[in-house]
Amino acid sequence: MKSTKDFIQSSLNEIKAPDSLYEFANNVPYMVEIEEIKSLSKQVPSLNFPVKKLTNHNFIKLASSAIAVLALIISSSVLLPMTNHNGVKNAAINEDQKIKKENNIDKQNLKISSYDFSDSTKNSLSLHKGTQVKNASTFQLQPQLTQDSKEQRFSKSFRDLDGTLDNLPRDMNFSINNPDIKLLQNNLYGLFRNQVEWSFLGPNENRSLIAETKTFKPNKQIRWVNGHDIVTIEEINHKADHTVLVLLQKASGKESVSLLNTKIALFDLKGNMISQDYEPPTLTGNGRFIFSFPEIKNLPDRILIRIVQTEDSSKKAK
Amino acid sequence: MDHTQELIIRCRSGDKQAFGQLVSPFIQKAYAIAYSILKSKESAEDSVQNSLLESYKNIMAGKEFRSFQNWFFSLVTSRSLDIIRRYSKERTNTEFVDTTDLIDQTPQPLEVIIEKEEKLGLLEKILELPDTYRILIILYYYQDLSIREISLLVNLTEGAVKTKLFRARNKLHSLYKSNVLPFKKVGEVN
Repeated sequence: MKSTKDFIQSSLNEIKAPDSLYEFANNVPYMVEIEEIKSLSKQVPSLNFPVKKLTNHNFIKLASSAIAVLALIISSSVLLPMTNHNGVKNAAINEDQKIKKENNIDKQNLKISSYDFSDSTKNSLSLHKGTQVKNASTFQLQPQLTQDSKEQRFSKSFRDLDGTLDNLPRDMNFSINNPDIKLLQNNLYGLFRNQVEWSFLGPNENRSLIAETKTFKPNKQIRWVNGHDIVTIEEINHKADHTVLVLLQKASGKESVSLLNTKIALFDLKGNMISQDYEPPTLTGNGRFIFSFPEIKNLPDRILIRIVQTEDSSKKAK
Repeated sequence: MDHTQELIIRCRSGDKQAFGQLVSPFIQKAYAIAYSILKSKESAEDSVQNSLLESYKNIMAGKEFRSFQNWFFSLVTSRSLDIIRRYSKERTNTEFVDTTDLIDQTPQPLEVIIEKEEKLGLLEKILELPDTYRILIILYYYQDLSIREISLLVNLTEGAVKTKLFRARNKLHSLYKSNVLPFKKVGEVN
């Protein structure tokens, strides 16, 4: 006769692990390696070497090294033709400036995180010194990116993705003194991604479908997995600067959610998020919704499209 | 040297395929443990993924394992318990559990289907149990941990674990009113 243990074990053995976990396991060594390289590259500029006491012995070593370096500089300036100096110097200056600019960009990117926001009403944002913080007074449903003489103003309505109203700053307007529109967009994209990535663990996580990007055929009927809605992919348009996904909502039952009140993220089949839409979808008529995604450098052959329900924007707009 | 130990050594020597070979046989059970504790496919995947990353880092850091398999299952359990503790306040118990999605849907003989349905019925009842009871049932019956090991994992005294396990069995019995479950085992607690 089977024991309780046998029954429980055999029933739990019915739970099947998804294939993605096996793929993930195979990729773990590579992921850890990349993680280590990234953390190393972050550490390098800020490495604090231990301060050595300047003992007599160390002082002699230091002084002799300095003399050797000085001798090398003098000899090379004598030996190298003078005509090359300006060219070399200019190139070096240009290179310095370029590096400096790139570092600034890196810094800006690094500073963008959820911690930069205070809350949904004060809407403070501290990206860098040039950032101007403004308080939002009016609700903006659609993101607006406009440019006046000096500053770009970006308004974004954050949607309440997990329905608790606790975890996301919702409506937020801020202005960023940043002349580079693409950089701003990338930064904001990074910001949104940080903000909402985990929100895809919401109750509607099982509304997902897998799309073939390389062999994609328009009007191919692909339904949401476990979803009540009948949604098909009409178009995947991968461009250099952004990707457009056109979905068609054919019928909406009692349990269905309008695609207008959704947010969509694209994942690879290993479960890594590739991108997510940076604005509410545009309804073009005939039930077609256009979702736009920021630049995706490498769109895999197969992607997983996941949807989360957001608040009813029509109610919020009132 | 056993096969597991051999794969661990290959991992450390830089063979990137070895880790997949090492953990693949344990992923099924690891996911079952995580899913039955967390009742969420996504959270279970998170838990197993985090455990995989952590176990690889431990291997590369030179950790010695008496039994890698048991250590890995304990790690998955701990990470799953961490998640459930973290979200216990936020999470309502209303998450939809669709067990039909978890099983293989390929056509099978009637006897197999009946047996599977019985298993599935029991699985559903286990998943219906309150968190504490469900976790204790899984740790004791599925992971085969001792009362002492469970008490350390869940931060309860051994006496409390025995009492709760007894109640958990009774609760499961009342949920699953069938002669299939004998609810007695030689040497079983209370």
